[in-house]
Amino acid sequence: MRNMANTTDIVETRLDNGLKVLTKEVHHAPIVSFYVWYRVGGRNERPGITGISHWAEHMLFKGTPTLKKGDIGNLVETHGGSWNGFTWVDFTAYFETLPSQHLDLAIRIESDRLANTLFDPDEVESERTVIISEREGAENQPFFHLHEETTAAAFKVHPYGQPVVGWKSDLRQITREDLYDYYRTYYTPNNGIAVAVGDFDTADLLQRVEDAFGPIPAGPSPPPVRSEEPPQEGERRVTVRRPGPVPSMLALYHIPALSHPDAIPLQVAASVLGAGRSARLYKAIVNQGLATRAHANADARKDPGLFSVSVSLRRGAATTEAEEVALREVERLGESAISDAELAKVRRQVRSWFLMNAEGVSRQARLLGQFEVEHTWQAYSTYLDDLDAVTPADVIRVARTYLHADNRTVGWFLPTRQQRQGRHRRQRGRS
Amino acid sequence: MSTATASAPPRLVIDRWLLPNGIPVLVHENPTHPLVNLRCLVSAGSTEDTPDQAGLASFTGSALLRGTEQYTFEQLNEVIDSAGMSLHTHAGRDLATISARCLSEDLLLALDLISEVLCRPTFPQEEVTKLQHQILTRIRQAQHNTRAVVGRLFREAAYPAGHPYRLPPNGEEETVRALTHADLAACHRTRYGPRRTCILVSGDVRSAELRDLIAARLDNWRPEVAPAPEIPDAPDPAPTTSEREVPGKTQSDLIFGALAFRRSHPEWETLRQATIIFGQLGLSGRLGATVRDEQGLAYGVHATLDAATTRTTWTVRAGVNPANVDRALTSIRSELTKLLDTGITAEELAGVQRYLIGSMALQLETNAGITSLMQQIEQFDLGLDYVERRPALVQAVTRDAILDTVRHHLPTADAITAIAGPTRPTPP
Repeated sequence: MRNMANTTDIVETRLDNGLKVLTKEVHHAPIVSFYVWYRVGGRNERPGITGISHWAEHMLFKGTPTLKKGDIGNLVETHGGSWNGFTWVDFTAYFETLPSQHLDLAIRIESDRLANTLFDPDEVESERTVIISEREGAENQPFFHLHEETTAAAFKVHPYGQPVVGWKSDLRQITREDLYDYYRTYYTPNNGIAVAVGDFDTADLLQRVEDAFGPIPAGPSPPPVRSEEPPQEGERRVTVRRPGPVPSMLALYHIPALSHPDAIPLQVAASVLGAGRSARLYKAIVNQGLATRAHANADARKDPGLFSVSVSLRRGAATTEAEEVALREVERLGESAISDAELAKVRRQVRSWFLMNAEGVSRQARLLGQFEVEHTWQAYSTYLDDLDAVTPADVIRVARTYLHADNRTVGWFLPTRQQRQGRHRRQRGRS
Repeated sequence: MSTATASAPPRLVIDRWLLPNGIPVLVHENPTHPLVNLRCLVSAGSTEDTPDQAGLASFTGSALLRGTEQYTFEQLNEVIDSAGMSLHTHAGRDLATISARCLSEDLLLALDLISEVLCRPTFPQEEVTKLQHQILTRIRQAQHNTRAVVGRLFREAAYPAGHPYRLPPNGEEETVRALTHADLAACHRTRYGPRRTCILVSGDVRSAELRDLIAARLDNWRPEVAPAPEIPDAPDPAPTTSEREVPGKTQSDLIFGALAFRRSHPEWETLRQATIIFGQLGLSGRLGATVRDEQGLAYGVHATLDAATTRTTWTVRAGVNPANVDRALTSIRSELTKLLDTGITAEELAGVQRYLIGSMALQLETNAGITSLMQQIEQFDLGLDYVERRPALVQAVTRDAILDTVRHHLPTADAITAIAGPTRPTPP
């Protein structure tokens, strides 16, 4: 083991094979949460294999020579724990949260599937329809289509424009060899980050991690993502017409990566617009009877991401008026300074959110890992100080820089005329 | 029987007392973080709604926040957001709930706001109208949501006309449109009172101090309100298959199930363990192993045993491609037949019991988990020592008992099936 660094109560260690290990002791409950994050997700995919990161994640639950499919969930739960895996644009992650005396089980599972996942051809095929079923479940939600189409229009170069779940045609054709090659390319210790938060002794935990992960050899560095989204020069518009209940709007603005100094002022701007029922969008749109929901989010990522404003209209409300009012609120951020009271409120909301997230070890481990994958874990430690440094002038500046019409893609979900009332069939007895 | 942990079994220390007006208060002191969870429960759910006023309880529960004697809706929102706290109100089938989460330094503010919202809502006309439009939009959205549609089909097949669990808790377009400010005020006047209310608190608080703080805010609240009516057990429903087409969808949602029994039934714990083995443990239990893992028919499939003070449902839910609905139903029935024929293995029983005992440590980690546990204890009269007793209750269940219970209470040919989704292809 080498390269140990300790900032506040978080310890960073790097094994000789390149695995980064972040640990934080928390002893308020006899529980430990153990995550392994891999720097692979939608951003690493190319047309033809969209959705492969997510599919690979599913396969890591389908068996190794020593853990057959289904064993991971059963073992963790019968030891009183919880578990899952998830894939997004910048990462794929796996976790177990367990009574602390069972920490070894989590380390064993994660080290085993990093090195030994089988990708049995039959399991690949049975999982193909499960993945398609997951996508089809999402397709039942109108906002899924709006998000997918508008995001695809916002990015014409960067893979962030592709859906993480994958296009259906790709899901029908990805092969076992595609999946296994992908696994061998990105699932290496030097492309991973283990995060442990909870009731353990750091030196003891590191020794266990070293024993389990240390023998796994490092791999070649994964190929870099070369695509850079060029500046947008003019508004783009998308319309999705499908059966549905009410119109919805999604406006997306390009913003810089999480590592950029403007990322936190943009998050303040999003909170002023959309955090809570006293936020500007709620007052201007929901309170005025135009919409049932209005939200803003600065989704800063490893690469430049998107600032979003989404509105779900009230039945019968005019789409043009709702769009004008929502986008006018975004423009206002660049015209005059937010008030001291608004800034104080946002600081308080974020501070509360951080404290509330610190209540459970699993949430802490998740935040820590996500910060590390998308920027650095140190940014997690300094986030509240960085937030306090944001001024009203910063918010005006970032609003003028990024939240303008030429940098915007506006998508609308417009329900098609009701085709017919659903037919209702009912019968007695067994079907 | 082995247990999951070598350490001492978890305990949950709860201080419970009655306010002078009869409101029970349950408090767990948890000083590990400077946070507090508060939950106020009122037996004012949709079960008291009449068919022509379906949705009244839900509308009233949501409208509690829309203005009080002291605050307008806008002022409430400003105070809540400025403190970085969350405060929500909601009424479902059985209960109206006011829930708050705050930093412990804001405890007094949270108590003030909860008492204001609980005791002195004013239902201002302008806000009621706005909320009414939002609810009507949500009802429209539910009509396009396959999960909501299939849930309604199942409910209507499981409960007979006139049963309180049959009505849609959020109401119908025409009934909600007809509700007025006066209806909401009357609902609050007749259903919200001390004998129907309880308060749950978990967090960085001192119970001894809370006694005075809560009494000062709620002891003068003494409206005369009748106790919540008992909900009669529904009779066994006829086996039924219902299906509704929802245009523009890709996937069908299905529910297969039956009526089981009350939470207080002596076999509830037994059926719960069978249900977890059948459709929850690991990747959705036995159902997950066949319907998802082997056959690749569904991303989501799981079994659930509901808990209520009246007879309620045991269900299997799945989302599948419309072409695979019949195959999925056949697989679910086949797994159920196996369960009824041969019961469960000793290994499965040991596993589910280790899960139920061991997972308690995770539930007790956060104030939200503790508050939910206290709600079950109070709502179902489980006893303040429930957490300590639970390992023995869990381990008292045997394989024979599970076989006996599933054979008596789970459906075979007499199941209810509901399906909602796009047009299904005609079989060749």
